[in-house]
Amino acid sequence: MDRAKRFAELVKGGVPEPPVVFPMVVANHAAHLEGFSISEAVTQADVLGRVLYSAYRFYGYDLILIFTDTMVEAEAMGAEVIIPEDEDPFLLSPPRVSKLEAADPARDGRMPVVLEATRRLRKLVDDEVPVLVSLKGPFSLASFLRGIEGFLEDLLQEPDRAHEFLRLATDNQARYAEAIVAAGGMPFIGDPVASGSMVSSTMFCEFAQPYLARLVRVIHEAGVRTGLHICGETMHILKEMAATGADILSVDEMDLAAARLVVGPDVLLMGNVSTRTMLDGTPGQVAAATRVCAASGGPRLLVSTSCDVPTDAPKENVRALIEAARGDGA
Amino acid sequence: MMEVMPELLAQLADAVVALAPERVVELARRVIAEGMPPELAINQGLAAGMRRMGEKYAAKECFVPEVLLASRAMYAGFEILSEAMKASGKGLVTKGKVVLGVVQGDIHDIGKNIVKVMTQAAGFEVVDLGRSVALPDFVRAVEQALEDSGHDPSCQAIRSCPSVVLGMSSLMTTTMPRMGTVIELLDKAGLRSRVKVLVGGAPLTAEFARRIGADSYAPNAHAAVEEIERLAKAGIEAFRSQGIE
Repeated sequence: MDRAKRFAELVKGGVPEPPVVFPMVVANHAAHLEGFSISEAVTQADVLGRVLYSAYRFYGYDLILIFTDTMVEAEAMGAEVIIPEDEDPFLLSPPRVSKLEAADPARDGRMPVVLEATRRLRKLVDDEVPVLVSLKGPFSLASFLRGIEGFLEDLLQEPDRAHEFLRLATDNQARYAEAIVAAGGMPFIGDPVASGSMVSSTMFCEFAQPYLARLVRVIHEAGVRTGLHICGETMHILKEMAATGADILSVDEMDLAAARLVVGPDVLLMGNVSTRTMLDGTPGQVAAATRVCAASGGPRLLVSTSCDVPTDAPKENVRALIEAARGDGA
Repeated sequence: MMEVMPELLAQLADAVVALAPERVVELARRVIAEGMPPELAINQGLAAGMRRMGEKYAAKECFVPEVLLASRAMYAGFEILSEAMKASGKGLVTKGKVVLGVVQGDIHDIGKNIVKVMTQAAGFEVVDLGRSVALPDFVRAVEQALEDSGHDPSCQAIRSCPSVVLGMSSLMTTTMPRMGTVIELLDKAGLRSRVKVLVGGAPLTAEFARRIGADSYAPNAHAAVEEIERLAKAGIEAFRSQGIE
């Protein structure tokens, strides 16, 4: 179905048929689909590549996203991460950071695992489908390294220190982004802490947006497109998100028609069937929610979920989203 | 006879809202020097300030960084005033115990931490279990809180059995159902009727809270404290209805 071509057309400003659809299936859901534990998938390149490839083949959606957890970069920069047997990895709180310097993507933490999985997937799918690779936004990475609460307080009390962490985080991410592109992936930025639920638009403009914009420039200079996903409320920072230059704006639960009014008709939005519906709803409810998204988001929409598909969301629901987006059985 | 100076209480609240810990400390010392009751300064000064911050956050007039700094300011005054109460031999009289925690597999604890500050300011004793809390640990903590409150099934006097409220949160769709599991565990342990359960977190709805058998749901920290107040009162009413005074 020419997935790569349709995606290219979509990010260039077109409206491909059938539309590009990608329920955000990531390592945890894909691991369970194939009978692996989450920890196996997020620590072993062969398992990570294999489960994401199998999930892609099984569901037949239009993109692949390599996402293990939000802590890959912080860990590579020296922060201590806990990897439970079958839960998502998390950071110690307050963070314990041993060295705090830019990571070497070829060597540090699980960056080599992600890069190797990228190369493997690229080989498996050749050029038939874009392989997106999760890249943390500088604001979130800085907050993980400093400790989220301490970092948020710094924004008001010690802005210079916050900017210092942000510069370090951006340098690190620029380097990692280039490594992702070299491995055949397309960096896809996730900046969960830079959420409108956490900070005002003024703070977003000062502390998140310029660093995101720099990262987007680096990615564009490396020759690929990129997207930006921010969790929680984003209505009052949507314009600023668009101003980062990211090619795709992926949003959490919100009214897409209202979002469309804010960003205008041309910006490519991505989203946003509720992950709750994906987990608890019936396939019929998922299909209905998908049609609401498609109708309210307009033609410039990459049909997706509001966040990653929950680990144990029923397969039927993932299928229902894809079918509804493609207009099957409508 | 201790004199109450209402302007001092208002100034304390203002200093919390102004995110000014030094000013809060200065005012708290004045409260003590003037011989005003410290608990009044906590309830009507510090807590009033935190309530205003909660309202401002709910109205999107301020955001998490401001609320965090307000809670630092609140704690700075709280420490001084509660020390003064201890020194006077009165100790802290609490409205009840509140057990708080984020369920296993979920590490998003900022919201829980904000609820903690505001609940303490409102006069409750908080037992903070932290984040990614193993589900049986909630049950153990509730049991302990009931025991510490002198709260036994044959409770004879309300004074000796203040309410115990359990507040759980989750920010992930995947971990949300675990709050329901904790409620089932409380039921199995025979504790369900002796504790009120409040749940919260961004992906939750009132409908979800009802479905898992929680007593209440709060969409934000401000509402959470109001619900905790209401649930604690309901707990006392329940005793009254059994003829316990």
